[in-house]
Amino acid sequence: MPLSSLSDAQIYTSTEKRDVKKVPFVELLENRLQGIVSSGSDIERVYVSYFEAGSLNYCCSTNNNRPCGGLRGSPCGHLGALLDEAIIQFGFETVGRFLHIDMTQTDSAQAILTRAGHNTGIFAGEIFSRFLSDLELLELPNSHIPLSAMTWFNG
Amino acid sequence: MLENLTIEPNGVRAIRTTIADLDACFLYGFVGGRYEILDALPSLFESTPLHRRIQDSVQMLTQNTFVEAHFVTLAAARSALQGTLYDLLRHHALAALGRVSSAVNAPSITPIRTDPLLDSTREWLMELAIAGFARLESEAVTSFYSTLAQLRTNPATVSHAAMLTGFLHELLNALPVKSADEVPLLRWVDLWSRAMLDAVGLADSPTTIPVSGSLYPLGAELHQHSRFASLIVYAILKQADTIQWVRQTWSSFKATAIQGNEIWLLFPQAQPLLEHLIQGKSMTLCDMPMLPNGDLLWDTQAVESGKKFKPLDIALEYCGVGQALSATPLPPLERHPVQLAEPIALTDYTIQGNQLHLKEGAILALDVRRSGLTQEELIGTTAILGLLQYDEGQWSIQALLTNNAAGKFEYAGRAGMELLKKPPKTSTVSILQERASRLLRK
Repeated sequence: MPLSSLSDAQIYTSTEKRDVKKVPFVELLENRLQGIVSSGSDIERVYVSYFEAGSLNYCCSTNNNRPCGGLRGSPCGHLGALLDEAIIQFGFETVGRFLHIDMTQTDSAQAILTRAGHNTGIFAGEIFSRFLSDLELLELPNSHIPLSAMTWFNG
Repeated sequence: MLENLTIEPNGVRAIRTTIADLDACFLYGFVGGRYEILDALPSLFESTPLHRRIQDSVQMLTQNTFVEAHFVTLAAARSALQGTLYDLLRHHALAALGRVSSAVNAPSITPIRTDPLLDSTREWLMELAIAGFARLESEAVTSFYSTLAQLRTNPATVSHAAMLTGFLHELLNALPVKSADEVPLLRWVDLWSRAMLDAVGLADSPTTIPVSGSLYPLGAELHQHSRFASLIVYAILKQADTIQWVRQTWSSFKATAIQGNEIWLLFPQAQPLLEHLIQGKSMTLCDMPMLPNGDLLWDTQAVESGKKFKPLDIALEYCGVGQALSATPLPPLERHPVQLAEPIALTDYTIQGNQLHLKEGAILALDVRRSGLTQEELIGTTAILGLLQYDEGQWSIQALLTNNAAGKFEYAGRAGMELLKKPPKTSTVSILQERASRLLRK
């Protein structure tokens, strides 16, 4: 059992730059790799997309709960972008392990996509509210007082 | 002198064992659990102010009477043990460094206000402890979301919110726990205890003292989790008759996509001080507010640009072994070995593997878990300023400042500081800030 007070997790930093314009939010939560993908044509529209760990079943819909037109029997471009950006943010290893993928057989985002399951048809609007909560963090005021409790988060 | 550092002071082993025994209760939780350590706990605290309270709480806990006050008692007992370790180890380190601890007349902190959000926090923490970290279910963790969101919006609870946000998401990411061996038990009970004590109530912040003199910035580091970052700048403050090691902290919540060097862009207020750090220029302070244990509370009105200086010369002059630097201990409630960070400047060493070998024989491990200069960056250097730290029963040095082969100085975090100096037109921070103002104002 680890006997350190500090975090083991090395914070992953990619050499590749995250495209936050395209994918402003991505997370690995409970059983899903999920996030928000911007529409290529309409600045007001975003897509809510996810893959389930294990089955690699997926879904993509607009934030107004309309199905994504790009889903025709395989993951759409939004899902592809979501996966690419997840790999940049968390690292290929972490994403692969999270999705329960046999890493000896799979070495790229493309290879993961070819193993995708089917469209669940279940829209996940709650991902959009999680995205808004993530953005809200940026609106909170900064502080300039000492916070010794942050010493545990060695980064 | 420094070679004495690795000799373990009396009592350290015993206290660490007691902490490990106590932490074992938190692995499978308190329901139906019979733990010998709970029976032994009161006698360990005999003739201390906590004795009676521990006696009562242990009795209730072993009868499965779960009231949050008894869990606060456990947090207090554990914090007292970690605080004692801090005192023992700090005393030992200061002796090895040839320094004397400066006395602080910090008044004891009394929580003066309760807050319903803090009441919910203690309830939540109690539920985690009852369940046990190896048996946690995600509903037990996520039930705290809404309280946490409210804690974040109140400036008085920013410290609580920063820590609890990191703790909650760390727990969530670790679920489901596949094997008890994977639980970072010491760490999680550390976080749990600190959070529990902090949630007892809100105290007034201690009175500040105005300080004036020359400030020599010498290093910086980040503390961070996915949703929050703190930037800490370290400096020597030279007042008329004292030389003191001081800190300035800036903190910000962040969206999860903001990572790496872009985190520095969250701290534009820090830019003037960091600019001086990079350039090796001092600052002149006039009545800058400072907390009793050496934390400045930055006020742009209280500072002017000063003269050029040689960072490593200043570091060696004041932070070298045997130099009478004044370094103040943390307030009692915050004392814990993880908080040990005594400044130390060294020459006459070689880097061998992940260790720093001193000419006189002492060996210090290079810290690998925190954001200091790496082994590669230190090879071929001749002087170093770092923080002496303690974890897993071992001392290590987190290097903040060194000189490169050309004789120029090099800082941990330089790339981030340079990014902040010339912020790009678009960055993850600016894109998401723009997005936030568009989406959240609807």
